Amino acid sequence: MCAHLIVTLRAVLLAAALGLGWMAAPAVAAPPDNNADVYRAVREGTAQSITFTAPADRMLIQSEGQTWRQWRNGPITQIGGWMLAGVFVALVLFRLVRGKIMLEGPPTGRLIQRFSTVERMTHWTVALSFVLLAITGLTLLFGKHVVIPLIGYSAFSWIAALGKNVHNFVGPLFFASTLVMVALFARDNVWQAIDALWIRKAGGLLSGEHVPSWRFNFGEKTWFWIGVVILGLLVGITGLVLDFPGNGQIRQDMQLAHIIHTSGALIFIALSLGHIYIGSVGMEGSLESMKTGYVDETWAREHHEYWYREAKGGSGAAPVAPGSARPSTAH
Amino acid sequence: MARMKFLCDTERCIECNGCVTACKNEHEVPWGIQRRRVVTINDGVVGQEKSMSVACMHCSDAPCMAVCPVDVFYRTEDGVVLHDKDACIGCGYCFYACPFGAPQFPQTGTFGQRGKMDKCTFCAGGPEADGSDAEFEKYGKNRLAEGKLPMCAEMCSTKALLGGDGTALADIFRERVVRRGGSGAEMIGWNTAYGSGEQKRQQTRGGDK
Amino acid sequence: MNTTRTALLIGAAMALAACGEAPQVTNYKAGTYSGKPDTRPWESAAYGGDKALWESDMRARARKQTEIGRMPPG
Repeated sequence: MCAHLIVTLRAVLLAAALGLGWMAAPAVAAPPDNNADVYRAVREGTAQSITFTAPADRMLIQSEGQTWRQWRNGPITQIGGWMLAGVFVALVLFRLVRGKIMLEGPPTGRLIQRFSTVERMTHWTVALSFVLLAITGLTLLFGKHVVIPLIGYSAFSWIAALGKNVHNFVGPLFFASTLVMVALFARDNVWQAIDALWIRKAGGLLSGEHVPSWRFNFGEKTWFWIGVVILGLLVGITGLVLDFPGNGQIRQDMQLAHIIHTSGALIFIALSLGHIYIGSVGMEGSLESMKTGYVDETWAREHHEYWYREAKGGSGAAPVAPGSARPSTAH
Repeated sequence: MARMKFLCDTERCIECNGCVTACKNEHEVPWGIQRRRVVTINDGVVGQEKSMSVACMHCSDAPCMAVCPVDVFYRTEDGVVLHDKDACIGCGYCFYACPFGAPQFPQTGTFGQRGKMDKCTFCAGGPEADGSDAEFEKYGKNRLAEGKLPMCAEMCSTKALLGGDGTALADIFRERVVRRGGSGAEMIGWNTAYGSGEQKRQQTRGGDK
Repeated sequence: MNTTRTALLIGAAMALAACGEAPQVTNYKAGTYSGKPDTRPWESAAYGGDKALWESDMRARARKQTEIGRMPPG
C-alpha cells in the first residue's frame, strides 16, 4: 500500500516536472523517446530476418495468437457449451411434451426399401466417425473444465492423447465418407414444391400432423444441406489443414482453420443431436429404416406420402389418403 | 522472492546466434528444434537495425497455459513456466497461442504428426527429479538446481541477453541506460510477456479474464 | 420411462456442467507455486533445501552479468 502511494506520488511529481519543462521549452516535434514505432511495426506481423531457418514463421511477436486465444477460450468455449446444453434441454422438453412419435395406423407388415446397402454403409461410416470425432473433439475443448477436476490431469492426459489420435485418424475417414454421402443423397434432397407446405406447417413437429413429402422432407433436407454438406465439408477441410502440419500452412492459417473448425463442429454437433434423437428414440420405425433399409408401408405412408405412392407405382402427388394433412395448394 | 525473466538489450545484441548454439548444445535439443532464435528487425537499414534473441519469455499471463487442453503447464515459485512432456498430447494449441513462437514440436508422429512439445525451460528442467537422466532426456539440463542461470544468458558475449531475477536485471539495465543515455524503453517483447506496469496492477486487482 | 427420464436428467446435468465459466488460467500470484509436483531448484543435491542460500547464489550470479563495476575506472 505504502509502495503504491510512493509510486503514485512519484508519477504526480514526474508529471508536474514534465509539465513545467514543456511550458519552459519551445514546442519542438522531437522523435519519440521510446520504441513505440518499433513495437508497432513488430506487432503488424511483418517478416523479420532470422539467421537460421525459422521454425514456423518469421515474426518477432505474433499478435494473432492472442486473438486466437480470446476466440477459443471465450465465445467458442462458452457460447458453444451453452448451445449444446440448450439443444439438449430443448430435446428433453420436446420428448416430455410430445413423447415418442408413434405410428398412427397399424403396421401392415409389408416392407418398402428406403435405403440401399451402399447408402446404409455410407451413412453408418459417416455416423460412427462423426460420433467418435464429436466425443474426442468435445473432450479437447471441455475436458479441462469438466474431466480434469474429476480425475486429475495425468489420467486425463491418457484419455486426451487417445482422443487426439482417434480424432486425427478418423477425421480423414469422415471427410471421405461425407463426400460419398453428398454424392449419394444430393439428388433426393433438392427443393421440391411440397417442401413449402412442410415449412408452413413447421413439419407438424408440435401439432403431430403428418405433412406429405417425397423421399426426404424439408427437415431432412435442411440437415443434409446445412449439416452434411456445408458444415461437414467445412469442418472436414479445415480439419485436414489442422491434421497434417508441415505442408506449407503457417501458424495463422491453422489458427483461422481452428476457429472455423471448432465453431462449425459445435453447430454441427448441436444439429446432429436433433437428427440422432429423431432417428433413434424419438420416432418409431426410423432407426429400423437405416438399420435394415426397409420401412413398413404404414410408416412410409404417414411420413413420406408422395414417396410412398411413387414407390407403390403411383404418380406420387396423387390423391392422398384420409387422415393425412392435405396440401392446401392443388397438385 | 525471485521472478525469473529474460531481457534482451537490443543495443548490444550483435546477432551472433551464440545463445541459440549454446542452448542446443547444453540441452542436446532434438533435431529440428531451436528453443531460442535471433530475430533482426530492419535488417540492412543503417542505424535502425536491431537484433534480439527470443525464446520462451515465461509470461506472467502465459497464453500456452491458458489454451492447453490437458493443462500440462505449471509455474514455479520463481515464475518459470514449465511443462510436463508425459502429459503433452501434441495438439499444437500452445504453438498457435504463443506470441514468441516458443513451443515447437518434433514431427515424430505418423504422417508427420506432432510429437511432444519442446520449449525453453529457463534451464529449470521438468517434473522429473532434478538432475536425473530422465529429466535431461526430456528437458535438458537443470541449471537452476545447480545454482546457475540459463546458459544462453550466461555465455552471451556482449551481455545483451540477460536472465535471472527481474529486479536484478532491472538494476543492471538501469545502470546501462544511465551510462549510455536513452530512455530505457528498448526492451522489445517485455510488455507482451510481463505486461506494462498498468496491466500488472489491473491483473493483481481484478484477476485474469 | 423412469429410467429414460433419469438418464436424460443425468445427461442434461453433465451437458450443463460444460457451461461453467471456470477460470481459464491459473491466476499467477508472485511467489506461489501452481501446478504439477516438481522438486524446487533449491531442493536439489547441491542445496539440500537451503532456499536462502540458493536465492543469494542466484542474485550473485545475476549480478555477474554486468561488467559495470568490474571495469577499471576511466
